[in-house]
Amino acid sequence: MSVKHQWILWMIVTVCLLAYFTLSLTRQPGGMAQTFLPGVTTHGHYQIEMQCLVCHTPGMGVKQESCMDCHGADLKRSTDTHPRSKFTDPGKMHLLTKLDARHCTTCHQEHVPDRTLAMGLSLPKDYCWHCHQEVGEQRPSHADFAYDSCATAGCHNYHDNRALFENLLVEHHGEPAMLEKQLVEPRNFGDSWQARYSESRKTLAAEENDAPEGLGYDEQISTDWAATAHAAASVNCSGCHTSEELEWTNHPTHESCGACHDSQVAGFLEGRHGMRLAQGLSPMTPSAARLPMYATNGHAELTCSACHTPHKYDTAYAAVDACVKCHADEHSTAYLDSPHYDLWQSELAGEGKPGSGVSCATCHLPRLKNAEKETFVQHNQNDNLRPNEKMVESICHQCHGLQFSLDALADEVLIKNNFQGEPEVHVESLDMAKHWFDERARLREEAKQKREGG
Amino acid sequence: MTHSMKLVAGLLLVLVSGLTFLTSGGCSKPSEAATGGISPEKFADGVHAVMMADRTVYARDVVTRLKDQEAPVKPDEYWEKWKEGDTHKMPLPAQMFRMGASLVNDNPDAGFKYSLKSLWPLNPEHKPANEDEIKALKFLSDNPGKTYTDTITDPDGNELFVKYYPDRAVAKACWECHNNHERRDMDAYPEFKKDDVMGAVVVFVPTK
Repeated sequence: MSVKHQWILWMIVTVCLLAYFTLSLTRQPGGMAQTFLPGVTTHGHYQIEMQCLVCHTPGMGVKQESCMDCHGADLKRSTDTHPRSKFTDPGKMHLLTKLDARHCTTCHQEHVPDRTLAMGLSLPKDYCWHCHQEVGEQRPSHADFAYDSCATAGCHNYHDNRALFENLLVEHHGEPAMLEKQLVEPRNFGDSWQARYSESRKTLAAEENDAPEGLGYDEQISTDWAATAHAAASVNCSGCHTSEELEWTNHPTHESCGACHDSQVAGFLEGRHGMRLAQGLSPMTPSAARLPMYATNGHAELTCSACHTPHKYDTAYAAVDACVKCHADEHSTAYLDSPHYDLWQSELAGEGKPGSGVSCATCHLPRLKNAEKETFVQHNQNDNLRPNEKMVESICHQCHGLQFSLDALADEVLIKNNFQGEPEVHVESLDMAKHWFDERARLREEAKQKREGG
Repeated sequence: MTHSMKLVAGLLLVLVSGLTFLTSGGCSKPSEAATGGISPEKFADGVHAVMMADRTVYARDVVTRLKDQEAPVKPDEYWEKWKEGDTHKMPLPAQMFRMGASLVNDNPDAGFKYSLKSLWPLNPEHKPANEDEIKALKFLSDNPGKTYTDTITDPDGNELFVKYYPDRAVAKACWECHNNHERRDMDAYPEFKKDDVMGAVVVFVPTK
């Protein structure tokens, strides 16, 4: 090859490479953007890692507001113990030299798998110590604890301590493992919907469906629909199958569902099942998951319909069967042999009281109350996980004592076998809080008597 | 420019300069320009007066009154966290004050920040962070009715005018709660009574 040809070849290769990398950066979402991933993305973000500009500026800086766009509401709900405002308080400006927690990225850096701990933490585990090293003086029981042991199960979390504040611990000290009631909140969305529209709504029969003529659908569909809460609430075919432009669609999206079930869809889009849809990407599939999944359903697309079978909307199916057909991890497979599943079966068989069964959804898609005191199902299954003590307040403590709940959630073996057995771990926080409160009460009484006596 | 035009321009210049001098009270420090002609101290005094008025009303006419009436709504340190049973809780006066401070401190348009400090805090986060703060708080404690001023540089390099105002026990709810709190120090802790200085409200105003 002549020198001239070598130069031409070099130029062609250079132009092609330049075009390839430029396209990689500018196309959003772009398959080629993976070229620029600086490292493996964390479990929380990898699903949307190709949407670089969700988190990054065009110059590949990190947008602080992007963290709060997705996590702000959750932090607010959890009454964040270390909000940004704690570090914008000028009275605590000295803390900024130890930990500039005004920026999420001080603790949570992305694409650094070699130093990323659970919950996306990229700081060494001793970060608590830098500001709280005097804790032993305030709490003598803490004096001998290891400097990196604060954020362990049942003790403290950086952000979410809603189930761990000391007054709650003391209030529930000494509770039995099983509480008396052992029932979860009943769902009441249908009732409140009916109450809201009772004057204009009536139960529809199968033949009253308003599907367009000539659609050629299976008759079973209208039979199934007529048996649902949708028909009972006078929600006809067009209620879900008509787009904003009033055009018929055979495949309603989560936006159709969200027109009535806004809280549920909002949670779904925040969680692992819907976060790709929230960013305008294709739906998540089990094959793309990092958790073990059954290959048979690997390519199922996670839309609302994936769990809520269209036209039947069987919530019992969505609460267990829909989960276990995909999730193949130890915890999920063990559920079918667990006492919780036995309770679920009893409730379905009519032997147990309504609300006495414990399905997958009972714990991972819990029933919460909105501002109007209506019960709704939180469809962000990560809302009460990581740290799992978040589950105590909304779920475990409805049936189990606080000590038992914290012990069980700290026991890795018990989590894996889906709570078949008793906790082998004992979380000391309740005993410590009780002891401290008792001791303080004694000292206060002593001081009072001393004042009155002298 | 003609002679007459020069004269008019000169007169206008003198007039504008005079007006500027008069409206600024004769001061021309850069710090005052930053606060629209009001001195940082005057500005701090003004916002502090509003803060304390709101805080006094909340402590005296809301919290203490409801407590005296044995109302079902109770002040509770964990008012936001209790989810079970009796959830009719409301923020303590100090928390109400700090919640307002958080909103202001996070608001870049506010133009100032404020904080609570004490030599005897129930929440250790509010203890003095250095010798200067200890000196200021001791001064307030030893000189009831006086204030204390300082200037500091924050970690971002901003120069701040700082004024410490005594934070007094204005309502029964203040001293009753603090004196009987489980986190109070048993030895080096005063038995607070009405009008005692319990700590300081600290106002920070950027001067450059």
